Amino acid sequence: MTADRHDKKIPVNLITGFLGSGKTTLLQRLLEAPEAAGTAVIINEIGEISLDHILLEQVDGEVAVLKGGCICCTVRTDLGEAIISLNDKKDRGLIPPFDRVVIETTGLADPAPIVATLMLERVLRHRFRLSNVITTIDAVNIHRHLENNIEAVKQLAVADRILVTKTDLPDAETTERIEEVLYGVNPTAEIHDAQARPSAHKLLITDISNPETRMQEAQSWATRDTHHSTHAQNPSGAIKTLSIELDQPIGWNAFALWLTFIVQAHGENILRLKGILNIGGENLPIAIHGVQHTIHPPHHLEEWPSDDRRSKVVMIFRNLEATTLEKSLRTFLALEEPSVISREMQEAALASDKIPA
Amino acid sequence: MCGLCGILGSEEHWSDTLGEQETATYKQRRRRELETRMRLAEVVLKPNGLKLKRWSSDGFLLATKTGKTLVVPHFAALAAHAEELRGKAIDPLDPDLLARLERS
Repeated sequence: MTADRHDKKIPVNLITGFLGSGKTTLLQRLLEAPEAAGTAVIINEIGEISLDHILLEQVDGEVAVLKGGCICCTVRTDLGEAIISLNDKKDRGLIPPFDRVVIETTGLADPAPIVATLMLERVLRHRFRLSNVITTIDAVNIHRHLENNIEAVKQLAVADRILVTKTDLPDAETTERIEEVLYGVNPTAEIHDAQARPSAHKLLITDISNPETRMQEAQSWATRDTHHSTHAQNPSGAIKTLSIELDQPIGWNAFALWLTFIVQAHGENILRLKGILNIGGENLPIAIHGVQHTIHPPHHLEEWPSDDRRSKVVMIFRNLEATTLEKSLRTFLALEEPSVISREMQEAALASDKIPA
Repeated sequence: MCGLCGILGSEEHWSDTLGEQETATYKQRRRRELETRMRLAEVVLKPNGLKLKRWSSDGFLLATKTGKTLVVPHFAALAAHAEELRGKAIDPLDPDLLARLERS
């Protein structure tokens, strides 16, 4: 049920990034692409004059400007109401139909509460789904932002795509150095150079919930060596990453129990979690991802991203010890003997009442 | 809506079905999964002074040793309700808890 219902929801892309990092420029370019036709836009404004709004009025698409400053302070009301208002207008035929929403946050916004609103708000969660988080960072000020602003670090940590802007400026960091830094903060994100003008399909459309792009999304990070990044320089010093590979199939119940308790106790410090899981009794891998306290519905992948059949869990966190996190996960997993009987065999056995347990 | 976990009482939790279709054996399978999950949860709850009992098809009763009890409407709410009863979250990183789990 979960997967089918999820697929029918309207995808929501979140574009975030620190002040002056090129969010609006990116948004304007993406909205010009044919793939972005039918996209409604919600932008956040700070102060009395919404410069972003003036710029965006030139772009086709319904724009609702959130009032009252920072999006994260008003996330459960303003953002929810803005999306619901758009949806109501669409249903009543007052605006053209749309099949995608893009939210551009303020530079100072913490994206996690926005993700939580989309996932947990009662009306929204049944009609919309988070597609992905796209974070812009400029190649000139990357170190300054990461060293001085935890918001910039969090924006990168929760990103599915990172778009590096201003790489053409003379005082920009080298691409190699930038990638090293960014993988140190987020080893699972795709990194793109804005000068290469990555396509709207790549940035907006591809996500883990879209059945047509699910495999592509999983392959983009699951086949990457995410270990080396834990040793990379991290200018903020506050963010750590952990990549765990599990050789044997795992029990879903034990994993779910661990994740439920870990996000309850430490969700504030677990900025991002992604996993490709080999669940005992399941023929195909399960993809899971979460942002702080919010865990997305898991998805079956149609095939394994590579020949590697191990489960892989990558976490981006702060104020926690990597060794303790890994020990905790392994200890919980040891509580459940994973099923060796496939789901199909269980279904058949249950149907014929031959194997009750 | 559950004020603690933000999840509607009987709604599906992310961990429930692994995206399963609602087949004829779905409910049977889900019931078995809940039983497994209860058994695992008890291993974690017991060292923290809590006890879990089945209450409805989805719900549970979570109680302290002194009898203070909360209805847990859904498995997803377990960790949040455990925190409310104890006054602090059960910490899966707690070395003492991990040591106990290793011995279980």
